Amino acid sequence: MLRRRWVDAVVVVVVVLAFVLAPQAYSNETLLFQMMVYIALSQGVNILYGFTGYLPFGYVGFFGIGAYGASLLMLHLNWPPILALLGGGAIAVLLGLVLSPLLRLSGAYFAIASLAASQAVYLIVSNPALQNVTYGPYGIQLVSQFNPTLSYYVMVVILALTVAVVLYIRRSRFGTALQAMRDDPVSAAMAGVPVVRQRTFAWMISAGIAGLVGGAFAWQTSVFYPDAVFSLSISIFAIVFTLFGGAGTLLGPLFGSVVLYGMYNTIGISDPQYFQLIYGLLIILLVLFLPDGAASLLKRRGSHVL
Amino acid sequence: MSSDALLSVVGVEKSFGGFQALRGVNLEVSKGGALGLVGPNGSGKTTLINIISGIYAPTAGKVRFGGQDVTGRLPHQMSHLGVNRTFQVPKPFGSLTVRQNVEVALGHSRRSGRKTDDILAFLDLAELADREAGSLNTAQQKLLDLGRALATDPQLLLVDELGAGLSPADLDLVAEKLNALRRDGITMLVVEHLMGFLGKVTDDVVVMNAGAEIFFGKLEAAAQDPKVVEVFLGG
Repeated sequence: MLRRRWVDAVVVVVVVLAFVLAPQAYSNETLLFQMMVYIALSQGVNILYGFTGYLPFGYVGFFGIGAYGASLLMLHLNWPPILALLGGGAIAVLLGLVLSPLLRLSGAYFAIASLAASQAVYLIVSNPALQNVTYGPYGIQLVSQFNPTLSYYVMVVILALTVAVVLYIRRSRFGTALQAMRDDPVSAAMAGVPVVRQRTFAWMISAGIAGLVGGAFAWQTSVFYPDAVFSLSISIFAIVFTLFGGAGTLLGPLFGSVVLYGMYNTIGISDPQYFQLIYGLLIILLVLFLPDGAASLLKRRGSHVL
Repeated sequence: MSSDALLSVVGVEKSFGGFQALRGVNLEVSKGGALGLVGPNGSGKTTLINIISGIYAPTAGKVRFGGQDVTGRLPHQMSHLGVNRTFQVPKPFGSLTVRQNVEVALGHSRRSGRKTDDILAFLDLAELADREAGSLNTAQQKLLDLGRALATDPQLLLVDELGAGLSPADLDLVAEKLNALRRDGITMLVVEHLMGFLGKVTDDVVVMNAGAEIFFGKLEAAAQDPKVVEVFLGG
């Protein structure tokens, strides 16, 4: 038990150090920041999909509401950025609670309904009629709060927290109960697990992470339109990174985000056509031969993947 | 209604859309007793078990457990109260180990439970403790269902066709284990098609047909009852 705690602590420290030191070696801080965004988002997807089997295609809705929540708290109420970020996270958790009846659905129905919900939130936020509140389609400007360095380090903290939460869930009774529910919700209920409550709890944790990340993204970017934070491609990236690495593990989604997002930035921008070709092939191969992700390659050889 | 009944089912009805699966079932299981539940396929045995364990809410009627009205309680609430079950088709947590399967139940029990190792040893699953439950054979998965139920320290155990698909040697073994649990004071309601098995583990039987009970008494007497004979062999 003690050894496991050490392993967990080392993982968190390594992740933090990597992103604290990376700007010394690599000058594109924006890319490093976005990579952290996707690692954290894919871990958020992981908490929901990896542990409960619910695939949230609309996950970006929480990211977007977090970005808007934090921004509007800064703009309308003059909250300091870090407090506003926490507020954005809280608003995302609240949205999770409001949307929790979606968890009555399962499989593809849940995936599609969550997608629809995220688009509904997007359409509300970007509605010109709400221009006085959300600035509608004209987007957000946080120029007076712009602070790329501080927002970068705040994102490191959010990432560390996310990793710690996933590690905690993996080790805890709560995490085992979630996996039990994923395998068989009826048996889990008979085993005494309050299935609906636990699943809702996982959903809200996952929503809160996306909300915090969204807030940090808004602060770092400081000028953005609604479609930038509600783009479906954000959900898809986070889901593909999670599946590529291996849902239900910590290192899988981390590995997936670093490799695939790295690849996206290496060739995705200069040669988008090759990037899309490789991505498409990867997804096909993944679904056909490695449905449990890269981590399953190691698991098949009997290794334990954290 | 006798005062020593741990479980009473009173006029329970259940409809699924236009299909009435249960048409007013009444039965009682006395504390420490073991009641068999038999009937042709589709007679509503498993539906009744699902209602008692909280998986379905009845359309009408009442379920009382330990003198308390528990109609419409949820499965995890029934589990906390001391009602648990096995499943006709075993339902393990396939990606978890055998040990974790039992530990999930133990960790969420509100009652003073047994120890994981004792449960696994009792069910001869100790050697498989670290195997993924999904990789066990059906007989082992059925025993694991039972182990998970035991981890919640049930007062009432609903046993849904535990014997089906087991070899004759395994059947004797499972019957012995159920009898050992009864000696520990666990009350049982046992659904089973295998009459030999049922005779070993129960005192009395209720025979169901088309969603209603048509006989209550000794198993031997059931075989002589004209209504029961008609249901099983055709009139």
